[in-house]
Amino acid sequence: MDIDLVFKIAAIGIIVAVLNQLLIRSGREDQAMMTTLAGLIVVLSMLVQQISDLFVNIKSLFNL
Amino acid sequence: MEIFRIAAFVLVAAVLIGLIREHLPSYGILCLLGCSVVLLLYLLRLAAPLIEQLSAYADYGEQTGFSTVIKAAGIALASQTTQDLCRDAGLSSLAGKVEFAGRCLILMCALPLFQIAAESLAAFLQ
Amino acid sequence: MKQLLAILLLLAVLPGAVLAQELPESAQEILDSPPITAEEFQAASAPQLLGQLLDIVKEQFEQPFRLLASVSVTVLIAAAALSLLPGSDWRAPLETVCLLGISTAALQPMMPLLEQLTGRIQECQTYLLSFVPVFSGVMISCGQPTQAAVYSGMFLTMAAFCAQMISTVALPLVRAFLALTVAGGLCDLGGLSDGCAILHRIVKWILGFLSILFGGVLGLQSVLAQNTDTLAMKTGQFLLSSGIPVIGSLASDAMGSVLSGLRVLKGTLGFAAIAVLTVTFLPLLIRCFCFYLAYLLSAALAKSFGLNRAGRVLEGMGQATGLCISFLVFFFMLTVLSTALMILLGGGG
Repeated sequence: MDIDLVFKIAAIGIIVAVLNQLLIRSGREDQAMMTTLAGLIVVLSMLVQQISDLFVNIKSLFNL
Repeated sequence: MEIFRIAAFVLVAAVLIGLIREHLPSYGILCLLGCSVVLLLYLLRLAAPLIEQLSAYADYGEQTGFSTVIKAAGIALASQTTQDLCRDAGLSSLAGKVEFAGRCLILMCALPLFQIAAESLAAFLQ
Repeated sequence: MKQLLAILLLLAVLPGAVLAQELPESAQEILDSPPITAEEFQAASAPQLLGQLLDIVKEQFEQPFRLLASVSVTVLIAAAALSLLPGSDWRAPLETVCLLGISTAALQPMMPLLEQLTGRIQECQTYLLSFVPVFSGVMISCGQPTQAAVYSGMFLTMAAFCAQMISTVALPLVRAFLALTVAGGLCDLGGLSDGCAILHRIVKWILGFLSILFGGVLGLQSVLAQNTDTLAMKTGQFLLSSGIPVIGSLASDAMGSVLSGLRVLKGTLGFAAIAVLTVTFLPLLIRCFCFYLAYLLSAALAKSFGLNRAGRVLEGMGQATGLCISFLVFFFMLTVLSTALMILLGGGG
C-alpha cells in the first residue's frame, strides 16, 4: 500500500501551511497565496496518476 | 491480517488530515482524496479474485443478466466514492448530481434487459 | 320436472342425431385421436410401457431443475454483489437490475408451458363437447330417460360449461396475473401488487365456484358407486388435498368416484384407455408440479438472501403454476368421469 504517498502529501501540506503563516506574518500575502497554489499543483500532479490508475482498475474489474 | 493494515492506514491518515484541515482546508481535501484513492486501489486488488470468481460462476450458469449486475455494482462504487468526497468538501449539491448520474447510468446499462422483459410480457398478454 | 329440464338443456345445446348403438365406437374413435393410438399401446408389453413412462417422467424433471439451478445461481451472485456495495441508497437500482435478470431467466420456461397447457385444455374441451350431440341423440332415440341418464345429462352440461369457463376466462386471467406480477416487481408500485392479489383471488373464486358445481352434481350420483375406505385411499386423499392447490379438497373428495370411473374405463375399453389418458395428462402434470416446486424454492432462497422483490415475483410465478396444476387436475377428473358416464350410459341403456 502506498502509504508514502499520503505521508508525502501531508508533509507538503504542513510545509505549505508553515510557509503560508510565515509569509502572511511578514506581510507578503500575495506570495503566500502563490506558495499555496504551487503546493496545490504539486500535490495534484502526484495524485492524478493514482486517480487514473484507480479508474482504469475499476473499469477493468467491473467490465464497464 | 489485511484488516489491521487497513485500519492502521486509515487512522494515521485521519489524524494527518485533521491536522492539515485546520490550517489549509483545501489541502485537507487533497489529502483526503489521496487517501481514498490509495485505499480503493488496495481494496480493489483484494476484491478482484472474488469478482472474477463470481463472473466465472455466471458464465458457468449461462446468465446474461449477471454482467449487468456487475457493471451496475462498479458504477455504484465509483459514484458513491465521488459523492462522499464531495460531501466531505461541503459540496452536497454536486454530490446529489453525481448520485443522479450514477442512477441514470445504471438504468441505461440495464436497458437491454428491460427490452427483453417487455417483449416477453407482451408475448404473455396476447 | 327435472327430467324435462335436462332434456330441454341438452336439446338446446346441440341437436344431433346419432344412434345409440354407435356410442361405444364413437367413444373409441375419440379416444384414438390423442397422440398415441390405442393399438400401439396394446401392442407394447407392460414393462416396456412402464419404462417409457419412467423416461417421460425423467425428461420432464430436467427442465425445472435447470431453472431452479440457474435462478439460484443468479440469486446468490446478486446477493454477493449487493453486499459488496457501499451504502443503502444504492440497493434499489441494483435490486431492480438483479430482478430483471432473475425474471427474464424465470419467465422463459413459462411461455411454452402455458402454451402446452392451453393446447391440452382445448383438446379436452373439444373432446368433452363432442359428447353432447352423442348424448342428445341417445336421449332422443331412447324415449324414456332413466335417472342415470338424466344425471349424466346434467353432468355433461356442467362439464362443458366448466371447460368453456376455464379456457375462455380463467386462462387469460392467469396470463394477466403473471405479466402484472413481473411488472409490479420491476417497478415496485404498491398498487400493482394489490392488482395481482385481486386477479389471483378472482381465479381462485372461479375455480371454487366450478368445484362447488362439480361437487354438487357428483353428490347426486348413484351411477358410479363409491369405493370402501382403505388405507391407500386415505393416503391418496391426504396427498391430494394437501398437494394440489385450490381444488385439493375437491380432488380428494372426488377421488372415489374418479377411481371407479377409471375401473369402468379399464373394464370396457381395456388398459389402452388408461394408458392414453396417462400419456395425455401425466407428463404435463409432472412438469407443472416440478416447476411449481422450483419456483417456490427459489422464492424462498431469494427472500432468505434479502432480495425481497425478487422473492415476491418468483412466488407469484409459483402461484400461477399452482393454478395451472389445478386446471389440469380439474380437467382430468372431468374427462375421466364424462367418459365413464358415457360408456355406462351406452352400455346400460
